[in-house]
Amino acid sequence: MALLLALALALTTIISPSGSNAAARASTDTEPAQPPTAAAEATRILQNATALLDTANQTQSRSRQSILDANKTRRQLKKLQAKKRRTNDSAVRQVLSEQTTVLTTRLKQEQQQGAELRIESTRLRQRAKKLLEQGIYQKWRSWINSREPLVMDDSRSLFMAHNTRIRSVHPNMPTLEANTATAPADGSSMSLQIPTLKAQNAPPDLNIDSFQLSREQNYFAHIEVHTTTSDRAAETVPLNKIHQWRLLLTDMDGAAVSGAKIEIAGHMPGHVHGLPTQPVVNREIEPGVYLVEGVKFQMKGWWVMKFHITPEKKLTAENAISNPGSTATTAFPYLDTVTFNLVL
Amino acid sequence: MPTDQFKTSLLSFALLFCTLSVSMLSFATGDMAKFTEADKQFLKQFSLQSLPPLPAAPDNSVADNLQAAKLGQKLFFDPRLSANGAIACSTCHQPQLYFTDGLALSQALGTTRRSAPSVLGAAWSPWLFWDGRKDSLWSQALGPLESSDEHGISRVQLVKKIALHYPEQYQQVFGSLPPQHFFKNLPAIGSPQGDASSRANWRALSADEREDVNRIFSNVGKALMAYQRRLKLPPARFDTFVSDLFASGGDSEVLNLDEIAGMRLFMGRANCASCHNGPWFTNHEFHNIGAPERNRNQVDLGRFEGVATLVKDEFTCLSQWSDAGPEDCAEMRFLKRQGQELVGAFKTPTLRNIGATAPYMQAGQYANLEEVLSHYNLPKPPFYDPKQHPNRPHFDILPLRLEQKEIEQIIAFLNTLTSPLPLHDQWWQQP
Repeated sequence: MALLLALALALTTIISPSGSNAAARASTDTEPAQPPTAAAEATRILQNATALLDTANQTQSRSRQSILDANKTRRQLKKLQAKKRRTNDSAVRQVLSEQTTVLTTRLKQEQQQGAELRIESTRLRQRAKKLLEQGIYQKWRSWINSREPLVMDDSRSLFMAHNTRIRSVHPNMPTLEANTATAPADGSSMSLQIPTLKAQNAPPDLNIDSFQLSREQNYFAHIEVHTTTSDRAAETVPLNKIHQWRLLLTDMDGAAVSGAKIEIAGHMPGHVHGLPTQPVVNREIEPGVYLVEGVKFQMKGWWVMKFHITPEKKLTAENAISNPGSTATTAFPYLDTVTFNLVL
Repeated sequence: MPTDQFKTSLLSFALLFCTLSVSMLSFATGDMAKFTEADKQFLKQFSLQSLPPLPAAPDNSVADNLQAAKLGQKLFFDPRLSANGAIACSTCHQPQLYFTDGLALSQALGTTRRSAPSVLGAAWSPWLFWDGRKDSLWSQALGPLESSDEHGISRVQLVKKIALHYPEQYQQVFGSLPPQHFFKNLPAIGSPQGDASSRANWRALSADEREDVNRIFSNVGKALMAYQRRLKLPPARFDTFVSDLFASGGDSEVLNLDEIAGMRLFMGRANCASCHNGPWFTNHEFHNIGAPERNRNQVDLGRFEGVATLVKDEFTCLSQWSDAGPEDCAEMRFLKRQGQELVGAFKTPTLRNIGATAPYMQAGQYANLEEVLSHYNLPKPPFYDPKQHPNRPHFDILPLRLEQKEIEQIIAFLNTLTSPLPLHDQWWQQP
């Protein structure tokens, strides 16, 4: 109950960013209300985001606990049923049956609770991520040209996938026909039937945001195509051409994470292959803004890009000293990974 | 009254129905040869008229120098640049065979491990050789010269021959050669590659001498590259067909119905265009299609070996012999060095002139296009020997399960990719 209340409060503050709190403050202040500075606004949004994320995490652990409880109940239930099968005494059977009914009801409840909490925690986390994005955008506006997912430069027609997830030819493997949707590549009046391997397409609900939270929730990151010109069209991902990205890396307070060692791994989930090149991060354009060099995609489709982050220990220690107020989770971040899904 | 949204969905349903009926029914004879605007735009990507300009070659400052190309042409056809005086580049890259030799494994001083690919289109590829063990055409040219199965001539011998036979042409392009006595003092043979005595001789040279030899040696490659960048292909029947589609408004009789059916399969259900795309009909990438191993006791690791050789190569874009700064060597700097998909993978070959350049695959495993198509139709997975392969080779193709008639149509289409031999073109002739 308390949790839901906290949640409702958090949501209210999200929905009305300049809402009740500000109004309350303004009414008690003698001076007229000042619009909050961008930095203060960003800090406030980020604080809300982290609070919401904490709630999401707690909800998730409760969900996990419910599922564990359900598993335990299921084991008990199995034992009871086995006992019931073994006994010939009808009185004992009667008792066991009653116990079974109780346990079955409990199992259902626990499973349902687990599922509901999981959905709730996912929803909360997504909400928190959106808030983080909003806060980071406020704070880092000069380095964020686009908040949209990365897209490919579409000046060329699509060439379909060249291989498959299947690694050996077996009599019962899917045939190309079964696995192939032949459709006009551009949705127009094409009579040429260009294959697209359906099973290799990204799931429709895939999160392809260019803002992502790291796996261990130490970092928040944003990617975009790095161009030196001001040409917005150049900010799309080119096909089959080596180009650069910018990776913005912050902690959960939106502060730059500088000096981190970053390794990149990419692959296509629908295929058994990785990137055609080995992209590297060798320098920061400014603290927290990393230049990613050597990025290349040889085909359109669903790509996964992972950034493995090892913070520079010395710097981390210094940050912790100069920033004693920072929360425990961000004071000593360790090896962590940010994953971006791209549908190019 | 239908809303706009409803109209849209009605329209898309109608479109979907058309699509389905097209794919379910076989083409009526008339429809087969009819191409829409979108089709034409798609096909145009494969036409020679869409060929992009030659890629910039910052690592070779004479890449587009006419004198360098002329010198390169002479060198390309010169059998004196070999151990027995009988092997030239043109021995295995014969103009009348579209710069191939028609053999499964090439014959020069010895027998090579792989089949000689055509040099046509090589200038557009970021990687050279079947396994991509070279990153430029100039660096590639240096390999066969020193290979004991090919020209079999060490770099010390080579630079002496250049000083003897081409002093003026060389100096016109690359500036002065070292004085005569420099060449007189060089040993008979010498190279960091090659046999023990050749390597010993090389080590005995001073650093300055080695540098002078390497400079001339790499310049020979740069001239050969400048020559190969001049080689142009006249339009094949397929290219004429695409142009005609645009001129005639959507149908053309340049290709017959079987060839058109083959083209539709090639671009569609047979999946060929997924790798064989663009004006050169290649994506310049590395794939394992499971062509049989020529020698199961010594498997060919393809790109996996190629990368290992490339990172140790003396003449890459990043080397001191390159005219480019490191920032111009993106492919080398971001070279993919690891990945299970490298094992047994070979570069997608061009399909230009494919009907005239048998046999096929990296070691000529297939004698004709029927054998190639029958492999694609029902392929066996790549041979795997855990003792020899670092991991199970990746396998990049699915069985096509085409009818015999369809296979014949694809082959008919492939034969439309053969350009007429431009034997009057000066660059296709022995100078």
